[in-house]
Amino acid sequence: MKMIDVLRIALGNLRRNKLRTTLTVAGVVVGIATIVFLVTLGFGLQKLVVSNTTNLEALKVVTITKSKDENKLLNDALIDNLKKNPEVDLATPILSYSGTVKEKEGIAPVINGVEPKNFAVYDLKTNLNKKFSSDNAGEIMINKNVVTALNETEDQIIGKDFTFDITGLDPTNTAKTISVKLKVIDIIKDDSKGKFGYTPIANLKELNHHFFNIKVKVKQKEKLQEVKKEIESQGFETSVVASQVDAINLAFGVINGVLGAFGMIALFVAAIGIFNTMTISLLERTHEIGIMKAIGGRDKDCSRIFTAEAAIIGFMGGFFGVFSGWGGGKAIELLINFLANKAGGSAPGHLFYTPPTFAIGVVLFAFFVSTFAGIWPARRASKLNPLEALRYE
Amino acid sequence: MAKTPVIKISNLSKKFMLGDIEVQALESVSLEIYSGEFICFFGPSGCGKSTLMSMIAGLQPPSTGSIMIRGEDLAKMSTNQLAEHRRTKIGMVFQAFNLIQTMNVLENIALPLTFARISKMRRMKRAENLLEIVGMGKYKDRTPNQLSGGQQQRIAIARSLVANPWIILADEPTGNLDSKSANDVMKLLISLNRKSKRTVILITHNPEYIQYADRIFWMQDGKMIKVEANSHVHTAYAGDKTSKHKKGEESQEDEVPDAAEVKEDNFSVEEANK
Repeated sequence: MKMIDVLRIALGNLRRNKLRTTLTVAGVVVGIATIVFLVTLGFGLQKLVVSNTTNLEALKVVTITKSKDENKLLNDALIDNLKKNPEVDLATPILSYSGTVKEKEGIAPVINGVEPKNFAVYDLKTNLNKKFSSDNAGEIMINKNVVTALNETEDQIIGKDFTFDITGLDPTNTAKTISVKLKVIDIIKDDSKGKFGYTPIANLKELNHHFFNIKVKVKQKEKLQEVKKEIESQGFETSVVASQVDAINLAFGVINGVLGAFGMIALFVAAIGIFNTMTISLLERTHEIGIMKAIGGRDKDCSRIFTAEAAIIGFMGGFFGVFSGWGGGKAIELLINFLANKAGGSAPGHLFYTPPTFAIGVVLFAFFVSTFAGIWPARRASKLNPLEALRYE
Repeated sequence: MAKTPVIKISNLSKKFMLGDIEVQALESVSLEIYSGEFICFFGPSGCGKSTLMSMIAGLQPPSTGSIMIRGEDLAKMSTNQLAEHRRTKIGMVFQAFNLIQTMNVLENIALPLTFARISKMRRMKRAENLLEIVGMGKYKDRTPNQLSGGQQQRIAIARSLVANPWIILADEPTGNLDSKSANDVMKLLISLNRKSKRTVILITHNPEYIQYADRIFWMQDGKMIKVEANSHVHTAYAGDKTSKHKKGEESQEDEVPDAAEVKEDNFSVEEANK
């Protein structure tokens, strides 16, 4: 018997028992929707936590902290070398020296020299979202602690000039202090106790010894470990944010597993429902199976019809279940965001996240579970004695 | 009469258990049936004739003895080969019609071809053709429960013919029918035998029908007690009782066309490979 004919007969049988089919499918829908709802909530929260912990872009960044070998330096040559790697999107240095502010006693902020065009790599939140106006602009962004130390308010300090005395090492490795006048253009939002500011690296060019560290951003997140290993093999120490994220992901993996297990209970109940439906169907159709065998149907033709029916129930249940679970999540999400907005708080945004592979995987899972539930009734159908089945009414 | 035995049964016995009691359903039955014969297994109910038929169909194995169909031993066949045997060499007609209620008339007729992996277009064409032959052309979209008993039995006969089998096994085909329908069905079976040279085995306890058979196998208590040849058989049909009924109140019933139209159309069940 051809597969297409098995499906035709199976679909015909399911269509004739509309109510029973609908109820059985509904059982699977509930099970699958529960799994999808719970697990996508887990995925969504995971994504929310990971992205709140760190900008997703930061997952692509590896920081070269120092050289293990005194002959190898964190310098422009190294940066040029790094940029040759096709996986590397950008490599940008930072210089960090401490400085004082003229006419203000006891303030020693750390002044970081960065490349303005690559400033986004540090993922700093500022009050005004300003950018440095050029590569060598005499501008600085400072954090709140510096503002307080300067006896200013966050509003008033914007646009004011301060002269910073910055002490560091020059290219010949001797200590040197330079004096630069910098205009405050923005305030960095942070919770740290330290005092620091960021300025274009060009302002510190006289102190251009070797870099404090180099941030390397890769083009694809997946290549991060590869690039990291390669840099380490060249004799440098590195650090990545990703390891933190791995820990978060692991924790959520466990949570998702537990949520999924709750959903599995619902699906298990649905599988029993399928088993029950198929067994009743077997009893009702015993005579029909006898006829089929008497006119030349093979044992496996009979069992395939039953297996196909169970599989179709599973597939439909999986399909509609994924949609219901996804839709339920969307509805809850909209409701929560609506209430949060109304209460004046900040809306949490996406609470549910459904990766397409997960959705497809769940449909396949439902398909296999219900096919499995149909195995026993299908085997019974194939094993029925044709004569006894023909006599059965 | 051709001398090739289509069915050769030697020393066939069948015992089975009904609870704790052993029942000897058949005892040392031997017979040969030749191509194109109209055979009647005649005997009271419980004489073992239905058991014999189901064994020829390969629906149950013999306890001892053998059944050879054109030289092939049924006992040596696997369940799949037996299914193929029923599908291609045997056409079965039952007292209870045994149509599948959930399928329409055409699907029922085509079902053996569905098992044989014949394409939908081909098998539906074949089924429609047979539906015309049994005079039921206008009922193709009905389901069995929308038809009378006689009509259902004609559908069952069309189904038995669909794979162009050698042998038609008809187990009390008129047992559930009124006399008009019974005569229609008999007429169809007879013409299948006469006009398209099929071997027909009719199982009955109704003595009216033995006149149509070439040979009658008398059975009693699981034994073959007498084999009788009918010399006048070709004229017996001339009596044509059906014509009396045709003018009756059931004249709106469909005419059963002469099965001469069941010509050998070279339809063969070449099973598509999997």
